Amino acid sequence: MPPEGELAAVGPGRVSTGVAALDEILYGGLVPSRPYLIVGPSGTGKTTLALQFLCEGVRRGENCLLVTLEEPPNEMKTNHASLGPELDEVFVFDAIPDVMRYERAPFKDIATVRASTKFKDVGSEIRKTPELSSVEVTFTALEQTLKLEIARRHYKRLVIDSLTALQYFCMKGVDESLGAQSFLRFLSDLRITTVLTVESPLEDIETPERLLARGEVRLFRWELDGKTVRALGVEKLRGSPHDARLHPYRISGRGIDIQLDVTISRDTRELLLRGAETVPAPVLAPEPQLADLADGLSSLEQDLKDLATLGISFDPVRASVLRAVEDLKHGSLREASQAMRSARVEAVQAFTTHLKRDSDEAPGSTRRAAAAERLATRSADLRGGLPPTSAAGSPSVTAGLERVLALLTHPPSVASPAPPEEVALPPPVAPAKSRSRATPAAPTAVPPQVHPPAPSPTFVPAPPPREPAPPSLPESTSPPALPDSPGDELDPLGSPAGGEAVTERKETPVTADGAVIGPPPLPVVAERTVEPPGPATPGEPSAPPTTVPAPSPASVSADAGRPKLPDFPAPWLGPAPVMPAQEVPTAEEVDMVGIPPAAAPAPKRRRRSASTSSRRKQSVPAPSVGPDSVPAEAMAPPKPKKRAPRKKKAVPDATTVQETTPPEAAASPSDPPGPSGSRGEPPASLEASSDPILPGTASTVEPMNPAVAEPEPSSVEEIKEVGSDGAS
Amino acid sequence: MEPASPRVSTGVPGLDRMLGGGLLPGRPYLLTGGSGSGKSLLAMRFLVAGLEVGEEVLLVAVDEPPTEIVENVRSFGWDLSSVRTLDANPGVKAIKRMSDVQEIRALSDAKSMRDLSDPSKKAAEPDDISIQSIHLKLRQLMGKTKYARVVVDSISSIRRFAVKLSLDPQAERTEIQSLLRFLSEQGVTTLITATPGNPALLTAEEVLTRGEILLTRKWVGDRSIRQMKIVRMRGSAHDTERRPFTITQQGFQVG
Repeated sequence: MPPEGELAAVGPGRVSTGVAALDEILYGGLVPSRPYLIVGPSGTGKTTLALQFLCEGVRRGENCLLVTLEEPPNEMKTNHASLGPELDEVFVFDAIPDVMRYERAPFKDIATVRASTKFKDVGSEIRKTPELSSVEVTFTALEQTLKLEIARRHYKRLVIDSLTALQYFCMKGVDESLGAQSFLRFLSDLRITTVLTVESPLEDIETPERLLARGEVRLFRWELDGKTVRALGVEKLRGSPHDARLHPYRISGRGIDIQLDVTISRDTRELLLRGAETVPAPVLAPEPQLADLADGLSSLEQDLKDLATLGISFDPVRASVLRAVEDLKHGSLREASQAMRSARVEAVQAFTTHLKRDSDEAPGSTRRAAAAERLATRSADLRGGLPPTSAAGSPSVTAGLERVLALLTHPPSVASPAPPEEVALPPPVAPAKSRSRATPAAPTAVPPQVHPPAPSPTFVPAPPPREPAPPSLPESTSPPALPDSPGDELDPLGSPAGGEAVTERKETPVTADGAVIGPPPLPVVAERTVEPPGPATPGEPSAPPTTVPAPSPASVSADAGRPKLPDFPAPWLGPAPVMPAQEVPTAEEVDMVGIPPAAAPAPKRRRRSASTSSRRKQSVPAPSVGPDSVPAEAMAPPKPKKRAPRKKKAVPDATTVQETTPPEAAASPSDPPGPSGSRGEPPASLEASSDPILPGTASTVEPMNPAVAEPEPSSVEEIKEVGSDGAS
Repeated sequence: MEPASPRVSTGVPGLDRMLGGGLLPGRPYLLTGGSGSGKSLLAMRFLVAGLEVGEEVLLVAVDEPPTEIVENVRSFGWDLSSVRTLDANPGVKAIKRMSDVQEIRALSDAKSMRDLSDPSKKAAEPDDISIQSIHLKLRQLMGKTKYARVVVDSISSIRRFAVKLSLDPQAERTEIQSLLRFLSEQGVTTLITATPGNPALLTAEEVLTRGEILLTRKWVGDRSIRQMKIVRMRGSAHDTERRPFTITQQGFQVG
């Protein structure tokens, strides 16, 4: 069994990558049964990372298979022995073609000649090509072989190392791009979580075959002042939002080690300490248990009462609760559960936001002080994550809801317009409120507020060291009463200025609601699009949230068996306000790009490296929109130095939450990497591609004239000048 | 775990340190650098280091005819007499071949450097210079002599001259893969030199070699600054920084 701490990073129904930090970046790990790519130049740790993924499977008792097309198993075993004893239990299939005979010799089908073995049974010497026959590996033969292997043994994890070698050496007579696409489709059909490594010298355009992967982790390497810098970024992850920023990492004998509290700007390559603005912790919500929703409701009730005592408005809470009600009416328990969680978080956020704004006020009465104290405690508790709740549909739920709604009907000081029937979901957002966007204190405006709080990031574990997600997801139901139990949500709250009192305020709270759900755990029914809000640049008016379709569950199950909720008073279910369609870049995108130095506000938040000025601005890696993503998504390229809000349409099918990087430059002029001449064009839906980014290339590659055969300077005269530098 | 195999010294102590002890035996490596960067010289040093520990070593000379190589290294005082060489240099005829596809007698039996002056040793087959022909030739040679180190200097030249193959990149890659695999199966530690090409194109040797050492040389005023760097090296912790080096009468001095 994996140690508790490790389990914690993995979201429900997700597959751990074997590297906890990467699971966090992925907001819970990989979505299972799909193919993923690890892309990067040679020597960046792709194989190592892929092996860590397999070792993790071994730790969980799964059968794991490595298909190696590049490095012989004996070398891999030696090279990666330090990853741990789990490696011994990984199955490896040697798919390296035999040495060519250049003579007529019988070819054998790879499947008849080779079989997978565990690493522990791999010898120390390289396998010798048999004398009498040789195996030429084609990708179709490999597909057949994999089918046989899988029939023999149920594998839960698969690694192909590397897709490049497959294209280079196993595509005889076939267009490499088409062959690779076919292979990836084959892998997708296998429904095994698969990782493929791809050698890619530059941060290049996404090739058609790569578009078939469900996600891509990219490893970068460049030189900085003679030193090598390594960075990792998740380029895309279909089906989930994720931290798309670059983080530095190292490779050691134990594997790769990612530094999460530092990010590297994608365009300027500056190091940016995350400090207060962190990526929201991953959604660690376990499967909603049939826990006691009533418990959550009673806490909410208490919180609302306290907020009322303190005169804090809680409009967003109302919105969430209404949403929950709607969900319950439709029988979508999961959504209702999420909505309730949002409500609870929002309630506490309303409190903390006010703390931040009115930290100097005296507490006032004892009653108020007590209320403030309770709320502060609640917020501290919730930093550990909300316990899972689930709308069990029990009578106590209904009663609890009624009480909560009653409280909401009589808020102390808020005059709000009729709540919308179709509630715009506070876009869960997540990722970090941009580092230093001096987000203006929001637009008060409209009920569902969605705004990143003012300068202070609201969701952030107070001290920079990221709080590891609370450990241990309960396997079974456990009373969720403890807020700190199983790492659930992402901590949306900054640490309250503990104990500071709050004054009466009569304005709508500004909440960073995004924090609420964080990236929605998308288990089966993820219908919601994550449309994180947030102004792109300081000074830009914060915009009202995007309209998101009301949670319409994929399956509106019949209500049979669900207790009916009472009809609520009409005002609660008034007409929906018209929400302008919002063009808001995701906070993740915002962060991803980093802030061009010129536009960056709040310099105190970032530490610029000394060599910033000398670094040339570099464009951003390729976007990761693939053919499977919602075609309606259009990206308007932002102007170079200014973050313009990007247009995003609400996406009905929210299984795809794309992190898109702002397309910056025109298509790469140079040849695509890899097999020459046979790369397809990226699909037309791709709006952007990147210039080949050549970090530090100027200094790494000697200028040369490839066209001319330049013999080594061999003149005897040069040799004679041995005193200085001899001839080469 | 079996004990780690002893490392293969490159002959340059500073580089061995950067490599974490030396190269891992039985694997192919890439040595990249522009012209004048010192890669052929470093490759020779690597072969000589093999001689120093009693190994049989072979040079596949494509860029320069072996005679020139001898000249180049004379000043260092390295004893090259036991370095065997396969003369795969296309020579003048290569130019002719570009215009009228003509076979060039490129390969010959491996000769000891000492015998190079003897012109009577002729090539056995009129082959094109190609990976395939080099591979086949090496097969013959390895059947007789167990070489522990082989240098191919340089693969870029082979690519340039193997016109036929450049028209079929798939075949070229497969042939390189096959050659390197063959050498590994023979337990040979192989060093391939190459000039850096288009950084966007990934060559087969980049994919197949287990490590890469890069030599650079840049000019500052009238002084040249040479640096070496381990770009990648599988299976071994290594220095990732660029280190300055010089070539003196004693050879390579790193740091």
